[in-house]
Amino acid sequence: MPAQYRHSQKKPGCNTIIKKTNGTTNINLNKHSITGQEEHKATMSKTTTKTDRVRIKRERVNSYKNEYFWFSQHFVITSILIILIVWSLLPHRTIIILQDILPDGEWIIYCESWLLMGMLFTYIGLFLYDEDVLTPSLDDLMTITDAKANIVIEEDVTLFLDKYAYKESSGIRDLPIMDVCRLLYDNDPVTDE
Amino acid sequence: MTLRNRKKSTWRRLLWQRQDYPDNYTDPNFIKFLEKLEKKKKEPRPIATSEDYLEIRSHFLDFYYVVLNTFFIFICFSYIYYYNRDPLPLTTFLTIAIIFLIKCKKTQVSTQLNLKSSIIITFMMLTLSPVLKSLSKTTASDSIWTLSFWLTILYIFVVSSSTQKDKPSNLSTNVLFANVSVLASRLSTTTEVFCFLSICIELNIILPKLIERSNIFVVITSNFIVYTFLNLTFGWYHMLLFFLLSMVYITVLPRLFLYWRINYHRADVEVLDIWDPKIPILE
Repeated sequence: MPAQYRHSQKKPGCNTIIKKTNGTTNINLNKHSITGQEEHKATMSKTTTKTDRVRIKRERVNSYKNEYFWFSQHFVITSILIILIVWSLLPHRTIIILQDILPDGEWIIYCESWLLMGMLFTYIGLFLYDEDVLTPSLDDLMTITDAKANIVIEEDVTLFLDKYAYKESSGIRDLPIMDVCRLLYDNDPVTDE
Repeated sequence: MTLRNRKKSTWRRLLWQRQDYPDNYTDPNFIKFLEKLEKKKKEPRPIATSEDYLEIRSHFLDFYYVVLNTFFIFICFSYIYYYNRDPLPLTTFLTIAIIFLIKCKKTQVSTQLNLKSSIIITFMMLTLSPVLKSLSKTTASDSIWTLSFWLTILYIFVVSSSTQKDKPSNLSTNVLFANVSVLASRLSTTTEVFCFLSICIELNIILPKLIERSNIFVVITSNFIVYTFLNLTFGWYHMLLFFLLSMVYITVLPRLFLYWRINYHRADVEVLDIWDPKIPILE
């Protein structure tokens, strides 16, 4: 097996299913291919060796394995939910077999109501905290800008234009808000009065 | 070849590794994968064939056999601890049977189980058994049962999720050994501890290598032993419960899995499987 072939097999994420063709190997084709992609395609479509077949089988089993994992997760969570609902709705002391293992039936009711009320209080409380404590007042400068603003300051205008206007910059820049205000409203008749 | 070596190494989706690519680099393979996923989503749902069902059922049965096999730890334990039987005849019988089996299948297993290493392991177990006997003597029995229960669940999980079928992983062997050594502290003599250790290792590690778990004779024998044990120890009521549960597992769950796979399984989760391998390496 040539080195290129082995290289292409180890590529991450190439899990296309190889179609079975005639058993003879056409690996020699790969010698003519130059780029990695062509080589990749050639190996994917043209050949199946014994190791390939083993690999496909293993991949298939592994894919099933992943699906078993997801299915077991789904199954376990669903069955826990169903058991919890049934357990909380049944009158107490009906599940005789599990009496030694499970705690008192009242506990499930306590936990459920605690969770429910906790969610209620959290949602209302977080909303009120956001509104009343964390939000700055409307006339605060923080509503427009803050200390983390990324303002570009250049001495020369042409330098600024060269650097930022006609070039791709790596991130977002903020305008200097006070300068903008001065430019826009400095000659405003309302403020002049 | 030198040109190829000088080329950039393939990009890997690992944040902690400094790579020769820009931060916002996107691998072309990933885009290909996403395109394929989109195509897959538009395709009509697959139709389950009976072949698929048979394959899936055989996988489910494999798991069932693993569970049956782990039952034998507790069967041995109660044979020694609860029924107060002498474990020596059973151990000698099992050991002789295993040696006979190894002689028959010498070509495959001889590399893994040579005489030297097995003698070393036996001597190690001999020296360790008095230590294991007194290691967790002061712990209450209830804690031991709980610990053993969780270790058993961990063992079943590790064994069933290991990729190689014929060779058990180191992790599963270690978990089994932890479980057995925790249980061994309840036994009264050193001989019993040694016998218990060797029986558990023979049944759970060596025997599955030698014989197929899905062999019909093995299945009947292990089922028979497990059901007899359940009937004798817990009574017919629990045996019936276990029987019904296992029947539901064998007959209903594979169909449920197929139904889930066709109707509920999302193709998106494959992104997590392939591009974010978060499985810790414990081996």
